[in-house]
Amino acid sequence: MSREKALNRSHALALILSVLRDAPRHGYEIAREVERRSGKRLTFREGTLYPLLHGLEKDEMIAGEWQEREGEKPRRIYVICEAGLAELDRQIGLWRDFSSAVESVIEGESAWNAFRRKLAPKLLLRGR
Amino acid sequence: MDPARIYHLPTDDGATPPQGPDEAVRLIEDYLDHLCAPLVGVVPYEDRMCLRMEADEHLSAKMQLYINDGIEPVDAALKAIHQYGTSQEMAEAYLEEWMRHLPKGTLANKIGLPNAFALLFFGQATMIGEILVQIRLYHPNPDPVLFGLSLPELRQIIPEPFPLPDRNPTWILFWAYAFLAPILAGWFTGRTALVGAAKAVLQVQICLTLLTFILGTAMLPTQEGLWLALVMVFWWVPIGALLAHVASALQRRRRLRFRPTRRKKS
Repeated sequence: MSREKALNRSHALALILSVLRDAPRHGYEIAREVERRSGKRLTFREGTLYPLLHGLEKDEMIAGEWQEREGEKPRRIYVICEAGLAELDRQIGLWRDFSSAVESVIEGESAWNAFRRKLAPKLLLRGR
Repeated sequence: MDPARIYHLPTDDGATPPQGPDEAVRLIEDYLDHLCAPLVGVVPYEDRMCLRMEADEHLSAKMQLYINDGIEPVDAALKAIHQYGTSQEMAEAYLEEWMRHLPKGTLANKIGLPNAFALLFFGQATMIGEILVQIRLYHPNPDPVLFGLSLPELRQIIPEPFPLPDRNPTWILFWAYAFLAPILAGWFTGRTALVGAAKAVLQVQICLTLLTFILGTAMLPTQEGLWLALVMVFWWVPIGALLAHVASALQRRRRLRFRPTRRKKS
């Protein structure tokens, strides 16, 4: 599976919101920022960004405004809203849960096993 | 869409294709037309224009970046388009996202736009089927059509407990209709619902088949209602979904296809 396929809608929304959290940006800048922050490891069809941006705007998570520029094409600048920040927190929580669960599986060690290995001997020693 | 491959395609007359900023702008404008064309009639003008202007700005900025790196304008435009994604994929992505945000209170918002189209066509088809069953119920004509055979001879071909075809023309109409209806309904659903048509047909058909089964049970001893429910399960669902899928794929391909090509030198 290619990396761009693996980047599903909710992941892409989280990436967009986290990029907009730091500063208002336009679509092209968002794409560049995702690329820069991921060290060019996360790449996706740049066109898929705009349907998501328009969806987020309809959900009132971000707000867009046209910026006129002299002698150049106008740009639509997006700003994150309160609902967007809340959604970003939720997405980050979900992602951290998911990634720690995957990491546990990859490491081959369950929470119970980690407890037995690290804490149980200390507790037993304290009991003695 | 591979810009490198497209670039190296020789022209018919072997002449160098036109180069330069004008050709690059033409390519981008052509791409934008193809991107927005499938949205016409579905997505409001303001939203389409917003998408178009943003895509234009994005592609121009990307193209400029490549030009600054020393790439020819036409190659830069092709490369930017390639990185942006095919017009078909992007228009589909936009339609899917747009359908998630349909205005509140409409039927399409409650059940989804593809489901609304499937309900429209398959609902009508089921209604006509039920009317035919009603006609069979109130105007029965159980005399068998023997096709020039004696009754025992015909019974060798159609053994008990299968019912023999009867003289009533509505019997033929009913079965012909039961066979053709999903083909037409599936096709029209696919033509109107550009995305998720097959899934919509499956979802709608589950409800309609249950309804037909209940009505068919209520109309016993006339068995056509139950036969219709059975035909729906084994014929309408697979054929309707298949036709919807094929029709929507063809419709998308027809409306969304974009191949960036250079103009031949005149």
